[in-house]
Amino acid sequence: MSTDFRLSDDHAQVRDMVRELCAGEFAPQAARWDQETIYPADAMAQLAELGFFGLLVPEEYGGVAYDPIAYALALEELGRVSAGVSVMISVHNSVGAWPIVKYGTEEQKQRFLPAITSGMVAAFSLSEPGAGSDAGALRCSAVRDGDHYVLNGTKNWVTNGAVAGAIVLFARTDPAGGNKGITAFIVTPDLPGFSVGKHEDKMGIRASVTTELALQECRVPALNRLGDEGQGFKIAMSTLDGGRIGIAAQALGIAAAAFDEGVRYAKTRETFGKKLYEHQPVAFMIAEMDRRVAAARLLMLRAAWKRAEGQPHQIDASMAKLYASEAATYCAHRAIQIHGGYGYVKEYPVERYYRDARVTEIYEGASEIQRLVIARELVRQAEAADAAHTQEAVR
Amino acid sequence: MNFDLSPEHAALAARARAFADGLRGTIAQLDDEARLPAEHVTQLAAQGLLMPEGSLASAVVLEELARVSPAHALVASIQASLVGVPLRAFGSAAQQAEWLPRLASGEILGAFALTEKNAGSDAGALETQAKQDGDSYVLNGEKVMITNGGTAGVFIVFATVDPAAGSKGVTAFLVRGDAAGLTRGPRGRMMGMRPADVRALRFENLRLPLSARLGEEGQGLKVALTALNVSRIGVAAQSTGIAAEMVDRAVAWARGRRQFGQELSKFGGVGELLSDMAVDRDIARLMTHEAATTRDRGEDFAHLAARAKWTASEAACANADRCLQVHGGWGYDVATGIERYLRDARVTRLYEGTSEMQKLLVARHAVASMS
Repeated sequence: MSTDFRLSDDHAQVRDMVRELCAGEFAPQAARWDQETIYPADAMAQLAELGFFGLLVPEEYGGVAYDPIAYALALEELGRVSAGVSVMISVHNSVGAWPIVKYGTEEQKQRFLPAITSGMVAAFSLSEPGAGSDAGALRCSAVRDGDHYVLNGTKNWVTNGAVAGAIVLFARTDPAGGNKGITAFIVTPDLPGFSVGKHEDKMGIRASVTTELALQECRVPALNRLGDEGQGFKIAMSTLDGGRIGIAAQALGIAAAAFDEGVRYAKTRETFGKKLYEHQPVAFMIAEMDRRVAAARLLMLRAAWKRAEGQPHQIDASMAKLYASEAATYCAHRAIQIHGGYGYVKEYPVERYYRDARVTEIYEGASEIQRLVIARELVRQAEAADAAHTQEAVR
Repeated sequence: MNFDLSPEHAALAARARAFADGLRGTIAQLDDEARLPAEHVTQLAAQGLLMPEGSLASAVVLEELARVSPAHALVASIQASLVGVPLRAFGSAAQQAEWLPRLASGEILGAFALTEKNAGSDAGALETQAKQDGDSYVLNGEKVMITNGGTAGVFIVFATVDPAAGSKGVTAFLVRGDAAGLTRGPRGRMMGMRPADVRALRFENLRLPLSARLGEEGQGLKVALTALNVSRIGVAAQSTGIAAEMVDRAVAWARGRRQFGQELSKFGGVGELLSDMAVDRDIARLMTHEAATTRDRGEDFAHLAARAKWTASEAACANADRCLQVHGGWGYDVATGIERYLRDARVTRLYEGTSEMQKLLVARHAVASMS
């Protein structure tokens, strides 16, 4: 098959379906959710009913099993309208449900996935006050005690943490083991010793709930251990690979929304007897936004396509996440500039885009971590190419 | 959806890469001597690399050639896009029969003569005149910065048949390299792309038969834009090649060089340079292939070509500069072979429409397509 970057008809249909849903149901409310810091429970319930809680879950467990491309398109469309909802759906699917699908035992899948697909929110808990980008530094401890593990520690920045029924949580089973001492667990809020800490008062994505979690002598059944002891870091990293495409999609949605608002405003507003866009500096801003949105979309689709094809895509996911998130803040920034004073007030959505965009450069791997991943992979690829040459020369 | 190359395009790319790798030993000398041997053109033709069919095919070839010699890519791009495309689109059967086989075999080079001293981005302002006189046109005027100006066997020359009509008077003509009344100026000394032959041209009472007109009277700008739109994909591909080569060279240097007890590549600051270079390379390639495949399907692609050309040319310049930075002082040494790419890359933001012109095209399209 020849090179072709276009969406298939099926994928275009998914995009249109989600776009229509968002425009009709969520767009009128998104500004209020943000301004009043409202967790949109009704919207989440509606999304669950429409299958959005099982986007990456096989049908036998009640999911709709989108491929990575359809999944990214859905998150992009949600991101255009409400970055807060988009991140909750992204976290729920990419890093909440997906690791259970990928690494769960059959018993765990039966126990959690049907509940998750029918409306139980899932979450992912890796970060701690002292372990963000350096996830291997986490200190939350898990000590085996019969058929339970006893967890102690504090986790933070947990998206969906306060509303989740299942949290994929990482703790240290070997105090000396570095990355290899980390183990994943499925923690549920009914467990003794589990409590939700303070709700973060965030700059943006205010429709999403972000909380601390406290684990005090929290007894987690050994049956809830996800994967083997010591496999946690690997599970976290492979989960984040998929998560990065999700955040790229969300960021692209914000970038595209900001671009649209910027161009629309430039088409209606007149200054000095001309439409704004007829002033060359404004036209150049539009062009710069246009190409960044286009580039982010190409990178995101490539990463999603490679994931769908089963090709290695770690570097592609990192590139997509890095670029799309920076494109989102850039486009939101420029959209405000085009709006002038109107861009600085909440009557227009662009200041919200700016606040929402900012976090995409931080979570699921800060930009600096993405660049580190990309640089390492470039060196690894060059080493592999050298080795192949040497082998050929020997032959 | 498919982000891979087809096996046919991958094979073509491999052939182009092998050809380009064959130039690695001599390119510094060719640059120094400002020379591009004529046999290189016929060799490219013999391997199907001079005028491949389709924009994606052309793009994969030009990217590979530009990795080693952006100037070879330039000459091949002119042949395929600026000369071949308008000849195929607007040429009469006789014109095509006369010129296409000789261009395709590399027997002659073509050139595209639009730019004038007072007409660069504003091509409609050109002053060269073609006056009809019985069964001929009489051409008078001057062109500047014409690549292949000294070597071309045929020129597509743009002149006005009616100076009062502005851009509506612009008309294209095919001018033989040996036409009486054609004077080629001295070879221009350019900052980069030095193997390519760039000159001014003068037409003094140059008589052309009516049959030398390419397309209709007044259709010249359409002929030019048809060529330029396609050629922008070529420049984008050429720029992508520079951007990609710079990534490879920077990574190789960063792996091989040690400072403060560790490989350069292990320093976070160097890693960021490498990472940003790779992202810009990939975006350049993706946009180039998007424009190329869109054209190959027969769909509107002008805005995609403008976006790709602008973005890839900036990536080429940025990556050449970053690669030199990774090399430190060694990059500033001509012998290392990095500074040539920086010189070569610089023109990609100028020719076939400056970045500023591409930005206007992209913005206009964005505004027009927003409901």
